[in-house]
Amino acid sequence: MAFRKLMGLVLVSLVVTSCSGPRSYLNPGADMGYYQRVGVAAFESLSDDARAGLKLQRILLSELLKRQEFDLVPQGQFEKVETEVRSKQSLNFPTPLDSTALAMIAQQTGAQGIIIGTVRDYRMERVGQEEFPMVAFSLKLVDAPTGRVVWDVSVGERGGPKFPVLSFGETHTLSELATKLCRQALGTLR
Amino acid sequence: MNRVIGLILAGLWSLPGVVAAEPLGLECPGQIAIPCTQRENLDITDRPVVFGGCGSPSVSFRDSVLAPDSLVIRIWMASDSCGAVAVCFQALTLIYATPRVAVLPLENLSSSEDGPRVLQRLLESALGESTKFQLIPPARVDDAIMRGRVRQPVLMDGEQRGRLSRMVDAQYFVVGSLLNYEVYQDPYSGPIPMISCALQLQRAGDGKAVWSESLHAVGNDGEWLFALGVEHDITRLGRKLARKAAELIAQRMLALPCAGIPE
Repeated sequence: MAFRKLMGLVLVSLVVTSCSGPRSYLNPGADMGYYQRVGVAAFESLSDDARAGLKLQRILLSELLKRQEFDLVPQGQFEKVETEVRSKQSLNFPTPLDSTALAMIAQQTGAQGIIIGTVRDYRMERVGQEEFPMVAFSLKLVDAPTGRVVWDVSVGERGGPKFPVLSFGETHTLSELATKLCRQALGTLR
Repeated sequence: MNRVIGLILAGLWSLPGVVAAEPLGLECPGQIAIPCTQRENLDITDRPVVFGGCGSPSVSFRDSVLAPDSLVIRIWMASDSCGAVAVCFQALTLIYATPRVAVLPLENLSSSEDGPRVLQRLLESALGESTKFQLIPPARVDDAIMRGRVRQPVLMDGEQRGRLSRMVDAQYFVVGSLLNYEVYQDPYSGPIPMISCALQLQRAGDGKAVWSESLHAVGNDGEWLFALGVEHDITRLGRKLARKAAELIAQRMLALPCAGIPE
């Protein structure tokens, strides 16, 4: 049994190509200092988990609050306004917000920038005998009045042991990996 | 202490331009002991009486904190349109109280039906064990949530938050989302529980998050060799995570103004 586990982990270490840094774009014409008050819109989920967008949004909010770089619009207030605007504009929840909707939300919440996100992967992936988390998503900070993209980042990673045989440094859960990726993504912001 | 106040007085009087001119006068309210959080509440700390002077003199104050964080000297200053200035001093003794914290129901984004309630109770136990907080009794919180018709505490608006904080008399709320609360079968180690949550400590007054963290725990975090040290019980794992959260919240509390609690 131990031998099988060992072989499985060696296989994982060979197969898993988990280390790819975030790819980001920062609009060279944007004044990042201007974006003090920021809101986080509902994330679109392209993964099988219908709640993946919500989970990732909550993790991102937690990380943004920790960083204290922005004055975040309280999430209760933001979601209430977003729901109202979507209803007026006939935009159902998975549909991305258009520039008119963004401007309307900004006007009502006082947000200068709005973060929108798309979750591409949020699932457990079987590798050999074991399952590892796989998370990939992209984030955008858009200038709320104009809808212009200020910052764009894509991250994705598969969890797994950092060292073959030993399970030190292993990322076990989807949320844990998502938290790690949120930190990586936000690290490219300023 | 009198010596320190005397030094401040002497220093202020020697400032150029700060001279009490007749007939403008200012009489400060007496020394008062107040809860630390009420320091800025002038209805409690009171205002000085201004007399004389030209026109309607303007009155302002600034605070000088002494005897680390427990004694504040409030320097009141009045000035009139003739250029006269009057100054007086008021001593405020700050009383620190153990912060009252309420743990609110967690948003459930996990596939477990009872996970949020279990973790909420574990968080309450962990916070209740600490001497750094005064935990609002869970039954009182449950009752207030029900009567206040708060469906999703993590998304409360200002009105709901204000109403709830008055009902339970809390200064801080612990709110959050349970992201994951499940057990998976590991082919080698057996059942392995996993818990993830995003928590916030919010100020009840304005909803500002003063602490936020995503916490994760997995049963085999403590495994060191071939399933030795694995935690199989999800409730025990939840208790461990709750204690970690309570510890982090306590650390954050001590760094907040008016929340360091010398008992």
